[in-house]
Amino acid sequence: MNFHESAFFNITYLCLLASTIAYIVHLLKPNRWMGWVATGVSAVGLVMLTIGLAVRTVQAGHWPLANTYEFTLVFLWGIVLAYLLLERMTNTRAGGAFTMSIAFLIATYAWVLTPASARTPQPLLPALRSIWLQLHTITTAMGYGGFAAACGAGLMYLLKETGTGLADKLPSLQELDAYNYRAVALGYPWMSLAIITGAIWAQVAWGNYWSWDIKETWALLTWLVYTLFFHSRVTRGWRGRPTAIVSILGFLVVLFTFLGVSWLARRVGLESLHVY
Amino acid sequence: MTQVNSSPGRLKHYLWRLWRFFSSLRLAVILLLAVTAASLLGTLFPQLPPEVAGDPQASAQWLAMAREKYGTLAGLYQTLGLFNVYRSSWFLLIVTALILNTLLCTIRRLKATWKAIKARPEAIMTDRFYERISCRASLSLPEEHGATDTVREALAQCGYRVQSEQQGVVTYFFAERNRWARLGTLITHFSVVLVVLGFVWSQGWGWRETAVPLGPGQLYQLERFQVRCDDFEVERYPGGLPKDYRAYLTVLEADSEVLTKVVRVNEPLSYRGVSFYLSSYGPAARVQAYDSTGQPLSLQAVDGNTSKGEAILNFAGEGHGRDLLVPSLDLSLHAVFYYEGPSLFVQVTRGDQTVFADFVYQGELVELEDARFEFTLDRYVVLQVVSDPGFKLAVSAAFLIMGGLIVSLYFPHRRIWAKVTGDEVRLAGLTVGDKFGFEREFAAIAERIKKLSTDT
Repeated sequence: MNFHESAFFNITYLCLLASTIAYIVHLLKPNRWMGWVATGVSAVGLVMLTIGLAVRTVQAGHWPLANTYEFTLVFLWGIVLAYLLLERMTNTRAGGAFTMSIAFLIATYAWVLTPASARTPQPLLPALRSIWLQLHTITTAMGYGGFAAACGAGLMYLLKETGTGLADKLPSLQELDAYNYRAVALGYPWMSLAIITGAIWAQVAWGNYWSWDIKETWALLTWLVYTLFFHSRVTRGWRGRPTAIVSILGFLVVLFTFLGVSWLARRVGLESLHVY
Repeated sequence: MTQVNSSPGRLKHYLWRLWRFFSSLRLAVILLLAVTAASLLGTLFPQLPPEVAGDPQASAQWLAMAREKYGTLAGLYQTLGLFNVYRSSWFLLIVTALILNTLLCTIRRLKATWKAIKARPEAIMTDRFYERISCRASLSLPEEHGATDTVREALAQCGYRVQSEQQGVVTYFFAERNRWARLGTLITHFSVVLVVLGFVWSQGWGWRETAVPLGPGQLYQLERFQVRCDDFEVERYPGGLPKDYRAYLTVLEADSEVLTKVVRVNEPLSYRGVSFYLSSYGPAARVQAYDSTGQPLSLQAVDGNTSKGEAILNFAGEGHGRDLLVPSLDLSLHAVFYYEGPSLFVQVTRGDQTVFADFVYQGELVELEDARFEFTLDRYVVLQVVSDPGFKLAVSAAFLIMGGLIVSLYFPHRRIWAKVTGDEVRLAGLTVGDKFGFEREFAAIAERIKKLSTDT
């Protein structure tokens, strides 16, 4: 039974690898054919991932949101979907190389670094049984997808400014700045919705929609950084390099929220708190 | 004379500058940075838990522990409020300043926005306007006839509302879309203020009881109504992991049942602004007590509550004991819960003499010469009881933010002017927000005009 699911996931993984390479090649040597290959292969990967997740949902009898492995897969799904949406909206593939590399890294984490025992479907615990949690995960992933693309644009902007050999192969500064804006404009509403659905879930689960929990606070920090992004753009003299830097910083905050917050919570927490 | 006149003028000037400063975008950026930094700071230090904050003794104990961890600097940290950032006066000050700034910014823009929405569109523009605007184009159409119709058609096809004005041989156009979308930012910013107000309402006027144990049949008393726990069940997966927790709660008002609801982990019961959340459960025992003639005995719990013939003992867990008194017979009963069985170790004493001591299993009796105790093992639920008046406002306002965001990010107000003289067409465009996207749309419109004119 499990064979089908893993077959789809294997194809997804290969597609992500191929599309990452194709996007990088396309970035360095723009060519219509390579662009179509990159987009096409990512789309096939997304479809395969969707089918794999659907198979898993049917087999487990619940949405694939019961453990870290499944959350990671849904994340991957959201990032690829958000990126392809952005590509359609902006008609450029500028952010593809970076975003797909991130997606490929996440996929490697899920399918290579996660032990098989942690990948087996598990029953859904009562606390995770909520539509708001599901919406929260998907919207977060979509937001992160937009922010990853924006970070790619920000990095390319700085690289382009240095004017080294690779730089003249990249899109123009104006184009990169515009792409950065469009990517954040995609990610920001999704991130806002993610915070709202997360707060509603917290309210429904334990009657407290905002308790300054460390994860909540970091999600708010992400939101504040991108709020700064919009406000700094309309402030004189902030367009261009400063906004590129804000995008990169913002994505670092995103990565920390996703990966570093539990470490921070352990470091900061007073161990004997449960005494009370 | 000049002295007398300039004094109020200068005051006015300063007030005006003050108003400009407090409603400025620059201040908004500074305050956003400050709130970001302050929120970050709060995650780098352990924060006083809210359930501890209300109790001075527990707070002192908690702070002693923090002091142990941070050594000599702990005193300084505490003075700076670093252990209680989100309730500290400086954090509240920054947030208040940001919210006031948001409000003032929005009010300041309100007038201009309203003017822009209500403005009578001006189609006739000078040549200087066409020369100086950054987004412009000049086209020479191959055919003289129908150039005005072509422009009109192309703009309409791209979703623009078109108006025109004739002046001799020249036709002027004004076309726009999403005029009302200018309200989007205002809605977003007002809603941010509303979300914060909702949160303040929740914090200041709400209350919560974090752990209310309720055994089978027990009542939770509120001013206007009562809540009774009827039953609790756990559904498990074949492997033994919990699948679903269900508590059956009934609301009573003036001793009549109003409603019954199944409460799950993510499905609270809400009634008259008070919500009941299932937070955990524990083992309970129902004790029924009769005298030798079968009449129910008066029972007294340790907290002084009395009941007739029946009492519920809620245990915190394995090895935890509870006491019950029978004042009329001078008996005291001590029961300890064990998961093995499950069972209770029951010890009954009269004065200082033990009259019974043994394990009791489900449904077993303890018979004494003048009393009989029946034990039924059951479970109690732990409810969190919350009154949160601000939640609905905060959530509705949050969805309004979403609406405003989508409108202002994806439906910006765009305007295009055109001047058609014979086969010469001049175009000029203005947008709010995303300039790059507009430039592409503008180019596409110019392209469309060319295409339409060659097609006909």
